[in-house]
Amino acid sequence: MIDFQTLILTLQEYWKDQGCVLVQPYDLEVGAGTFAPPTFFGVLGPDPWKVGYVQPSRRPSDGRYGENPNRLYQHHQYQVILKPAPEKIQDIYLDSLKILGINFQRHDIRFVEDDWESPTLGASGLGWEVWCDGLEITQFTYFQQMGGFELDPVPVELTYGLERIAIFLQGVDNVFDLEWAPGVSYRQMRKRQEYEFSRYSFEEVPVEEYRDLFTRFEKESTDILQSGLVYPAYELVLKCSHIFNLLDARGAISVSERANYIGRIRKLAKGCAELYTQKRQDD
Amino acid sequence: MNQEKENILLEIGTEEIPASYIQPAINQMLIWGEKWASRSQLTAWGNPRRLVLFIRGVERYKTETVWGPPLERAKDKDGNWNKSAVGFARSKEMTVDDLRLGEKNKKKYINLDVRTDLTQEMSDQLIVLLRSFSFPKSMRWISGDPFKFARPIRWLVFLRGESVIKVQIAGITADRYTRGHRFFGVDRIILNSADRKEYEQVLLDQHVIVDQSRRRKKLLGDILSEQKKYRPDISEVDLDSALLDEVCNLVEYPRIIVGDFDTSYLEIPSPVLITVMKSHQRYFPVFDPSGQLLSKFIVVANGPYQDSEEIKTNNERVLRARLDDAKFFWEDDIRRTLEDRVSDLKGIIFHRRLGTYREKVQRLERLAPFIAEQLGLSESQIDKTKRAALLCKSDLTTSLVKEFTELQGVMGREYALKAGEDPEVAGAIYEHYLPVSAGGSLPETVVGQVLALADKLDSVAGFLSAGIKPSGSQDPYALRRQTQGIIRLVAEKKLPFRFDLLVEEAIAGLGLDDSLIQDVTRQVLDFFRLRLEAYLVARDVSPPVVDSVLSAGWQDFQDVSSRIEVLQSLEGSDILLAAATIVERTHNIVRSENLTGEDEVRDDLLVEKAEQGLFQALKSSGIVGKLIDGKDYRKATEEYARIFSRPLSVFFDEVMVNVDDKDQRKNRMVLLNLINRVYSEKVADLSLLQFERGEHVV
Repeated sequence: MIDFQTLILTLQEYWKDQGCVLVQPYDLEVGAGTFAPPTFFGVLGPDPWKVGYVQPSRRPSDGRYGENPNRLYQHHQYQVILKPAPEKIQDIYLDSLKILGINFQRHDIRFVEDDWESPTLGASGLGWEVWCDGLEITQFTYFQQMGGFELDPVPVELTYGLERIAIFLQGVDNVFDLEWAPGVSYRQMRKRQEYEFSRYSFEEVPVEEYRDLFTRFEKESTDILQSGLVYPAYELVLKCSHIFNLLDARGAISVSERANYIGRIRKLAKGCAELYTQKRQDD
Repeated sequence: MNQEKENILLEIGTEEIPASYIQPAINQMLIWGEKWASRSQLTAWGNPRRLVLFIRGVERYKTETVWGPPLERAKDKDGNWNKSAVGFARSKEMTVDDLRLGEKNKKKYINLDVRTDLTQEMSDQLIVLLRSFSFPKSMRWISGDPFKFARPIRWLVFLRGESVIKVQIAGITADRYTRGHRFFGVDRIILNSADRKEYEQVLLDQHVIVDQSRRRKKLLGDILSEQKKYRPDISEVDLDSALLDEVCNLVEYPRIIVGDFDTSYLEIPSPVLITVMKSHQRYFPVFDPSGQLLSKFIVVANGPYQDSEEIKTNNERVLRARLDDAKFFWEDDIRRTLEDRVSDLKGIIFHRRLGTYREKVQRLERLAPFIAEQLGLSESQIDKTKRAALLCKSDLTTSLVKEFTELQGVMGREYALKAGEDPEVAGAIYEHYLPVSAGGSLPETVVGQVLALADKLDSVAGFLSAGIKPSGSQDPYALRRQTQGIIRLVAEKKLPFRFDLLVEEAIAGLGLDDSLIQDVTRQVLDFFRLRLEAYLVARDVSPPVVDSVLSAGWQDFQDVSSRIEVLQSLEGSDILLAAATIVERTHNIVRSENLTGEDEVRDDLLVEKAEQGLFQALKSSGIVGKLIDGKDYRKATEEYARIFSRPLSVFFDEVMVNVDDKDQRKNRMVLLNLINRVYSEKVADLSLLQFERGEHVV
């Protein structure tokens, strides 16, 4: 049986062999690997780029106090970007599943339509959810847009849902029953955090302070973008995005406010993409 | 020259195309195929990884006559072909021996039967086809190439007979190699020729059923034989055909596998379970003979799996996780009643320009009881209508409906019952969304009918007043369908409403500025009239009959309907012909005069005997009006024809209408106009009916 850390190592090894640069998880709160700079900036512009990394991803609304066997405040993604998308990318991806021990004569692998969109990042793409025996294990997306920019060459993004794949490979019903390392369970590693972060985001997040923080980070991001500092400006976008997610989980955002917040984050993200593209051309 | 007819095989090999794109793509290929052959020679197939067109017996060459110079300028004085004739032949890569003679405008010319190979054109046209395919969404994938398709094209087979037709597009060169099933076939199979049977068989050997109808038949057969174990009388109509179509286009080779879930989940209302299975997982639910949901499901896998045990177990685990979620939502949702949730509707926008759902509900609380009172419902039914109006949108705030929007109304009923609401109120909450499709079923309970009318009227009047109208195929708020729903309710449930009364009341609730009301009312009523025409035409009432009846008043559907019936029953009869002749002849002569029904005939200006006689007839025609008031349109038509046919005929024989004396002329016009209006204003403007010329009798 393949434990959680071996699953990650196997994917790292595989994508290293495919020529990916392996980078470390981004050290800020993000909702998905797509938000991390190696993807957000990496897919912009004409230069070839291959990267792989684990990204712990926080989705406060999905928190269930560690009580739900399938939903988590924080899960882990394995994120791969290949630019341009290789012609045989589906086969290359399927080979990674084979290496994880998935036998295609005994498991039903399907590419099910999923048109991906991130309104906060001004990003969209076409592709699939990859299903294994009815379980979504990967998002497979040919990006068309990022930060409002049309992308050419077209990159492909592969996002493996690591907990889902581990649940499948280990044949357990509850994510907390996963074996993380020999003799160490996912429960031991994460359950307490799941409970505390769920409580914090659903019950404790100080709404007014966070609204205020949002506005301050938003202003700071705009200001330093003026000074030409793309990466710090983008980190502040990520902070805004996470604060928005927390406020949303806390039930503090009405429907009409929601669109407004998302629009504000998108505007910041677009500004960063624009400056990045412009600087690249100047270099 | 039979051997020149060859078959064409086109296979566009792709990464997995969305299921819903496949049938439209097949249709587009068929249309393209008609450039080369008739529909009966075409076969088009599709599945997620390939779109296929086979054309049987296409001519390779086309022969066209090309005209050269006149004969007299094509020969020298010795009668031999001259330079220009030789040049003409050479320009078409032919010789003077091929030249023929022909006549144009009574003059002799030389010409050539030029034969062109269509292969190049077909290759060019394939590029046109691939570039013009239309999908709901398409994507780019090739660097520096704006070419778009539903998903990347990875191979192309294009054969004429035994040869490959050369085409290059999207970084692909057409060839003769196809691919089998992604996991159960080989990925390089040579095709020797464009042979339909061979192609189908080759792919079948590679576990691909390329013909969608065969795939569907196998799938349907397998599902039915499995379901029969639990419900012996099941047939195709009991299955969800949309799901069947979708699943059929999600696989290259369908294989059904049956799974189970724990019976404890059956405590969740079955619409939730069914929706989870269908919309999240594309599973088929299984029922017992009484229609009760069983704790089983059917999953359709893609491939000829020998050992399906793991697939079954894993799918069961996935469903369990989904059902856990649904159960969590259900249990969480029922902690608060629908009544509690009414105020939450302030947080949900109905439409930017029409306010929140709370405001919509407030409008319904006013409009629905009004309609109920008009129907003469009892106090208790009016109270139930009010209650249902208050609660009907609250389920939009529940987690389950947020997760599965298609369960709106369905869950509302469940929550209402759970909270001990009156079953009629609960039923109306569900029914007020009906009909959900053009031919969908209508609310059965009267409270449901009232609320359904109110909800649709408010939406249609609201959106139109905000300037949001359907255009072409764009109708994002389904205003056409909703209006048709109102018409169907009034028509099929025989509700005694005038459309203008309903529309005016709905508009009154919108809080519009007084200055706008008249204009908005006219717009909404125009919209209703168009939908009413469409409704009647769709029910096989001929467009001229629709026009003529509606132009004599259309607000009261039951009345419209009885006038149509009379017209239809009188079709071809002498009576109708006579009435139509009166209406038409009077109409023809007065139509450009701008007369109203207010003008009166001046007795003193009637000098001719025939016009006096006609006026007498008009004065004695009160019986027609009485019959019309009594809605006896058949009798009214008979009387109208009887009273006016002869005097009018005599009038036209003996009296000139267009005389110099303006007063006299006008007086005659007024007389004819009034005769016309007796019928055409109240029953039908028969001048809009088209009668064969020969049938004019009077």
